[in-house]
Amino acid sequence: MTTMSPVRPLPEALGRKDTPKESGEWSVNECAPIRGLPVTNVSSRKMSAPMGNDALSEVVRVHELVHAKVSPTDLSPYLERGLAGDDSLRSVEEMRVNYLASRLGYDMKHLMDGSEDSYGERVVDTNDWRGAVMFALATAGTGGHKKFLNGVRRKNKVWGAVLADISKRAMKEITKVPQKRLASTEPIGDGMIEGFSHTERIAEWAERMATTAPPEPEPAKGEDEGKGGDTDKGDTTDDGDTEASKPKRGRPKSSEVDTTDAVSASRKTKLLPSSPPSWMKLKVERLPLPIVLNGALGKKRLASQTGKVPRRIHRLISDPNKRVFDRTVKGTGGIVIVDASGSMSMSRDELREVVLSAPGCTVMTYSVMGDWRIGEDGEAVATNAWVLADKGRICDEMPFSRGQANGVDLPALEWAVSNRPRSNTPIVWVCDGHVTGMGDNGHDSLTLQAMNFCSRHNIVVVPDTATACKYLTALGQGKRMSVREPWAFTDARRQYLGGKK
Amino acid sequence: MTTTTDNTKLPSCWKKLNNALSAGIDRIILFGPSGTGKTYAGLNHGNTQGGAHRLICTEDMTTADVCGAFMPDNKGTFSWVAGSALKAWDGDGITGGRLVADEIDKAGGDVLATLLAFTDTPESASWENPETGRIHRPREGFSVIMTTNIENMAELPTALSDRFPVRIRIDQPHPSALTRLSSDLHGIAVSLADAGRERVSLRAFYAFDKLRSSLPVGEAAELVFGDRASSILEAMRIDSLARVTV
Repeated sequence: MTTMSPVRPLPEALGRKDTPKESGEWSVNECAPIRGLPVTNVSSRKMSAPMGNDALSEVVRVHELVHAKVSPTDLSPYLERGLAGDDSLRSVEEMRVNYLASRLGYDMKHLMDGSEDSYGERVVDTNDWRGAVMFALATAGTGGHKKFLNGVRRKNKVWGAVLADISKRAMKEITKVPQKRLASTEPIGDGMIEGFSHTERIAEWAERMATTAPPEPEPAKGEDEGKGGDTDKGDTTDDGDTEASKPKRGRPKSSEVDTTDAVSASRKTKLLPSSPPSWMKLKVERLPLPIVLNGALGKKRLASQTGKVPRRIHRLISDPNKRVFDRTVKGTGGIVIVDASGSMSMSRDELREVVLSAPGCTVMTYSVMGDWRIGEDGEAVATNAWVLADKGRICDEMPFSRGQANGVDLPALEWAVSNRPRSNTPIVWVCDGHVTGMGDNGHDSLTLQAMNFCSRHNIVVVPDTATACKYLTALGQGKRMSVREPWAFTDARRQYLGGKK
Repeated sequence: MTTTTDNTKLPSCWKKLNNALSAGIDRIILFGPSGTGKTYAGLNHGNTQGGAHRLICTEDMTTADVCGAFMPDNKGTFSWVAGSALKAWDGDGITGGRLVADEIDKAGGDVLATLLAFTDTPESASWENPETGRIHRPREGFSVIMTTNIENMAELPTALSDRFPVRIRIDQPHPSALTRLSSDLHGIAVSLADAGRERVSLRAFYAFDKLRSSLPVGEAAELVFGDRASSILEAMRIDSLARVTV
């Protein structure tokens, strides 16, 4: 009879293309096959994994080894891009790893620790939709997935149906990618690797899916209101005698819940077709600003002791000077970012017109003029953004007659936000909505990033120069003017956000 | 013999060796895990037209292995038989040869002293043949490559390390050594050649490769890798991930 010796995982044997070959062995410790204990850290070459010969230990060990083979050494380049958060990246990565392990012939149905079922119930009880989406994705393709969904369904059938659909769609996306590419650690620039870019793309979608929980289940037509219950099976005590004594939760019996609408509503949130490119690095040059331009953009109200209408009556109590009235002062400016790329077809005069319409503002224009090189310091080699006006002074000569590529749309907006003196300083972005990243490659994800950034920081997007001049003039006169968002934004919103603002 | 492998495709350590040899460096230490082909490289890489002579150093060896000794001959008398270092000095009679000293750090005191004399700079290196009284000097082209498994070069005697200014850590097998192995084993053989305590030598993979052609894979692995067979097979399976085309 032979005794089974422990199986030490051999991460040392696994080759990667994104890291230089390192000498010596990994630090490998044995742990129990319980969720949370096995762990792999590629950068510090540490692994904790079970070393038993049983089926569960084997699949957990293989799961960790696949992490060592394909997972990125550092998530920060992905987190900096802001497409997806840490938890969504990790959840989808779990799914990718489990899928790759199953492709190697390992039966990942063994991968469960028995806690999934109760966790499924708990996420519903705590109304943790995001947690539910992430866990569903992380366990997709494993034995724990079904148990988790059973737990969820027991409490909320709609959630269960939508989560099952989300997992199915995510898995379908993963299986579409050829295995060689899905497992590739080939560097693709900016510290990122090819295989994980698929994880990132799905995680970006998962982020959107996790924002809004499906609506509460509604009773199907003709349902008797009194027949409340919260389980779909297994509750043998659920009879007529106990019904009266049980508190009604107002949730219909799950067998009577129609989940079709919720599932089809969730399907409106589409996945991006491919991995998005990175943004080009922004390199700003401040042009000489010899010309003084008098004027100011916008008005603001300040508290005053004198006036006609006491708008700030609360100050009677809170303000020692009892400034309950308003007085209006001229605004000191804002920030105007002008997309001067080819799609804007902006002439030198039009650009100048925008600058003149924004007195007192900081005006910056951007366009990558054909040079996409990144220096050894990680910065752009050539200037791609120019400050045309600042603190009441403007340049006398516009830097170019017609711009070329976008490339730096989001970095330009980030520059504006980081340079605004107060959080309520207005930022106006003159852009047709056609944003692009590195190499002037467009991608819907880049559009979504720019849209999200604008809504997060209250940036007003103006689609063309004529509207921009009107809008800025109106703003200078203290008027409010509504502006229609660029068509590209509306289209992206319809495709990927189900039309949600 | 001069190797013709494309330098740009070589792993960094082998590229360094090629660069050092082609720049005319004639005293090189190759160190690192065993089974990566250091000795093979010493015997075959660079200009070895004058012949390559191997010297395996142990504590029990004598200077006879280095410079030579009187040995009984078939005439019933004693005649002088040159040692490896002397042969390498003389080379083919026109150019000097290559001395490959394996584990030179393991040589005893007197042998080490003799070796130091033989590996000295050409200007100061000389040795008198006790039979003929002839003074031998290294011929032009004489080179020495020393190989060792020790990782810390500070552990080498100072006099020895002074003579070998270029030290290269060979951490993976030469690509030409891998050609004897099936392509699916290349990656894992390279990775495990320098895996510290988990190291598996290239020779083990040669044996496994041969065995698996006639035996089931599991059996072949158990025969070669013993207790570690499951671990190695598991790792091989996972390492194949990015290689598989679907």
